[in-house]
Formats: sequence, structure tokens, C-alpha cells
Amino acid sequence: MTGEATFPGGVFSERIDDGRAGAEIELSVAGVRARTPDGAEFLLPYAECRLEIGGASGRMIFCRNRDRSLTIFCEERTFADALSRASGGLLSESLGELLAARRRESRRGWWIAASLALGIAALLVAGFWGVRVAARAAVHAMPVALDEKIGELALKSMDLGGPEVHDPLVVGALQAIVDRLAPHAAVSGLEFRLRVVDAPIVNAFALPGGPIVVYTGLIGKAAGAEEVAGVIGHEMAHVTARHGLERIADSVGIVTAVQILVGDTQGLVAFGAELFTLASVNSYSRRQEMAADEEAVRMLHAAGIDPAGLARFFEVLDREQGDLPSAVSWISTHPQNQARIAQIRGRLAALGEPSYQPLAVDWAEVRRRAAGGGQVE
Amino acid sequence: MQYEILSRPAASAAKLTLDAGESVTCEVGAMIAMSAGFTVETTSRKKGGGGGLIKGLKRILAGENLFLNHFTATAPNQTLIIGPGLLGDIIHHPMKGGTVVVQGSSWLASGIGIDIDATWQGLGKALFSGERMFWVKCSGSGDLFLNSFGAIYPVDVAGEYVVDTGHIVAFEDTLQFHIGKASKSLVGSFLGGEGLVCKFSGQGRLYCQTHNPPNFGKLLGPKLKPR
Repeated sequence: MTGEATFPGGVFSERIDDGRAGAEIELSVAGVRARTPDGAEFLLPYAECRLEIGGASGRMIFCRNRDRSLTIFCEERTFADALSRASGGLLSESLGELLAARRRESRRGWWIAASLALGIAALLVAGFWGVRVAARAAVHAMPVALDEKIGELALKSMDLGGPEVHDPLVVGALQAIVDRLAPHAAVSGLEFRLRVVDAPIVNAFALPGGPIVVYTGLIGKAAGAEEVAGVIGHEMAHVTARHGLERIADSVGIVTAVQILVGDTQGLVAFGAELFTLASVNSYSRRQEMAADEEAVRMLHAAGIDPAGLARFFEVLDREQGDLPSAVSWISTHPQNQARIAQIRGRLAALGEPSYQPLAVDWAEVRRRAAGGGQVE
Repeated sequence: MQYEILSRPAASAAKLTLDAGESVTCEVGAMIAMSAGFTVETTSRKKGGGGGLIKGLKRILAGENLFLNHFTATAPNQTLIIGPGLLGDIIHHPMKGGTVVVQGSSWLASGIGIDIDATWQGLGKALFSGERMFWVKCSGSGDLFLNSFGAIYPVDVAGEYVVDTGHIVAFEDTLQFHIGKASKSLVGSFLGGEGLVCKFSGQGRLYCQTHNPPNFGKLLGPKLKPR
């Protein structure tokens, strides 16, 4: 039998100038035969072959004689199988061991690379969330002047959806509620300026830093002043708990988050003003809503106003919402009304039997004037 | 083609003498001076076809140029002087088949029987060898000229040999290397200033350079006056 195919490879031998040359390798019956371009021939009988694997690619097979004076090497993928066959199985075992060791090595490499990639990915994700969480915590350390700036900027560029009501009876009644609650706010020094806007939407919101907007549609739905006091208390609680800044910190990109952490508030103010101008001002998280309810109950109780008004208002809206959800803006984005009503009632029970002073407001008149567009007669 | 390497090792240039019809392929920008009897052809291919755009793009990844300059002598006894960009050495490596793996930017010129391609050496080596992600792979027969930063010294490895990262110029593909620690402990390796090293094993020729460009840049950069 003559040799099978030939393979490109090389040979190391002291018989060659420089000790190395490229060669054409043939697997003959007698052994591994190498022929250099100069015409020199080398033969390594299979029985004398010692095999090694290596080279830059890691899969080059080296056939050496006992004293390593002759080495024939080849990198072709099919060489190992051909060598195993040509040697009549003589080299199969040692080839098998070499290839298995190489596979183990390469698997190990893949494992290391995969764990490295996973580690880097985990670090990136952790870093990303870490910065976001830290930014969220950092906003609480910032001065409230920042909230005021954002609220003021947002209010200026906002479309309130209707004309502002200037009727002193309507505005005065609501401002009186604000003034009773303000001394009990968790953060002092904030100016809660109330605006009434004539529009048939059941809504009220507060902007960071204190501006509060109540719509005549909401006044119309409230059966008594305590119910609106509940809503105002809830909105003031969002302001004092700085939920607006938290929401901004949650929504900013990673760059602004890093800016917040290094104390640069320019991006925060610009982004915050835009967020509150464009996005729904009532998109607080469930946790923030529940916290604002709780804080509202505390403030109302401290101010001597019956906090049950808030729960009652929820119940009214919950019934209305069943018929036409989108009409009631104030509650449509507020999740889990029943749970919130239950929470408020629970807090009330814990407060015992306090004596509350009813608000000295002619509510029927306020509602009538508000329904008429609140124009001063 | 005959060659002579001038003013070794600090500011080497190679003087190549070609007979009519002989060609040599050089790195773009390597030519310093030449006789009048040369035609210069710039392509992304190997002289006489082969390769093409893909190989050219791979060469870019390896730190070489998309284009290759082919100098062909049109008259007898024409001389071409070529040199590297940085101060350093040039070495001639005669290739008789087989493959030499060259650190990106160390390939200077080669005979037309040598194919220039790029090769990926694995993620570990890409990140930690102090070299580029891709290496230049020269295979075939003919004259190969490599350049270095500082002087080049050849080592005929038989067994094992350790080189600091960033000091490899080229090695024959019969050699394998992996990245390892300089001393037994990782802390010791870094405190000793050696950090990671390239551990070669097998049989074949290895070319090392006495200096490495990134370290030189780090040393010199801060001392330069801002313009």
C-alpha cells in the first residue's frame, strides 16, 4: 500500500540549514515521511514516533524520534485521523490521550472566558443599578430649593388645561386648608401655593417644591371640605416626602444619575422640569402612593382635620371609576384603591377617638361657585 | 534579492538590492529611498493576486495597513531602502514554508512568496499579552523583514521560555504560548513589577524586542510639554 494523501507541514532536523523547513508530509507504510522543497527526505517509523500537541494554534501535532533529533509536524485537521489509520492503530491511544487533553484545555479556556464575560456583565448591571439606587438616595440629601426650582420651571411651561380660578371664596377655602396643614408638614420652609383651575376633570396634583393644582371637577365631586382636605394632604405629602425627585432620579439616564452622585444638579433640574411638564404628574409608584396616604393621615390628624375624608373620597371615586374610569384622572393612575382605603381606615382605627374640628367652610357654596367656573360675581 | 541591514540596532534601515523583474512587498510608508528603476503598485492584495479586501481588513485589525506596496525592479541592481516608523531594529527571517506569527506593526516587508494575513490568538492573549487583539500571520517561502522597538534578539526555543508582555516581535507557529504569572504568587508577580508574562513552549524561533512602545509612551508622555 502506498501512502494516502499528503499534508502541508514542516520538519525540524539538524540536517537542514537553520534547523527547520516547510515540508510535504506523506503517511507511508514505513512511517511518517517529510519532503522539503529542497528535495531532502526524512522518514520517521511509526514505532519510533513520540507524539506531542501544541503550536500557536494549539492543535499542531509533532512526531518526534526518541532523541528528538528529528521532528515532523503538521497542523491539518485531518492529520490526526490519517496518522491513526496509517499507523495501524499503533499511535491511536497516544493520539486519543493528546486530543482529549487538548479538548479539556480548550473547554477550560471556554469556561474561563464565559465566567469572565458573565462577571463583567454582572458588574455592569450591578454598577448600572447601583448608580440608579444611589442617585435615588442622593436626591434626599439635596436642598429643597432644588425641588422648588423644578416645580417652578415645570409650572411655567405646563398646559394646565383651563383658566385659573380667582374667586376668593373658592381659592380662599382651599388655601385655608393648606394653611392649616402646612405647620404640620414634615419639611419646614416650603411654600405650598394653591391654584384652582377651571376644567371638568377630577384631578389634583402637586409639583416638587410645593405648587398645588386642584381642578374644579374634583371640587364638584367632593361631598365635603374634609374630602378635599384629604386630597390636598395627600398631595402635600408627595411634596414633603420628595417623591417628585425620587421619580426623576428613577427616570433619568445613567449619565444624569452619575451627575447627581457627583453633585451636579443641572441635568437633574432640566430633566425634572421636562418630565413634570410632559409626563402625567400623577404617575407615582404604589409604594409612594401608600406612603403619601399614610403621611396625609398623620398631617390631617395633627391639624385636627378628620382624615376619614380621604377614605370617603376614595370610595366615591372608586364607584365613579367603575362607570367611566378615564374621567377620574386623580384615581385612574392610582393603583389598588381598595387596599389604600383599607390602609387609611386601619391608620384611623389606630388613632383612637380623637375630636376633630369641622372645617369652617360653606362647602355647598364653594361647590356652586366652582361649578360656575369660579368667576367672581 | 540581496539585503543589508544598516546601522543596527538603534536606527536600522534595510537596504534591498533587486534584479530586474524581482519584487518585494512593503508596509505602507516604509520606503525611505530608492533607485529610479522601480515601479510601485499599491493594492490590498498580495502581489500576483490572492487575498483581497477581507485580508486587508483583517490586517487593519492586526495593526497593519489595508494597502500593501509592491516594488518591482525594472532594471538590474536597483536598491530600495526601507525602515520602520519607530526607532529600532530590523531583522531578516528566511522562510522555507511554515508560518510565523508577528506582533501587529512589526511586519516590515516580505518577498512575494509570503502571504500576509491576520490571526486571532484567543481572548486571554488578546487581553493580557500586551499586544494587539489580532496578530499578523506570514506564511510561505521567501525573505521576511521584521522591525522592532529597540533591538531584536532571536531565541531558538526548545522546551520553555518566558518573555515579558509587550516584548514579543514574532514567533514560529510551532511554538505555543500562554499567559501566566511571573512568580508563583500573583501578588509577588505584580509587586516585582513583572505582572503577567508570556510563557512559550515547544520548538521554534522566537524574536523579542528589548523595549516596548507602551511603556516608553507612558514614561515619555507626561514629560512632554503641552502644545
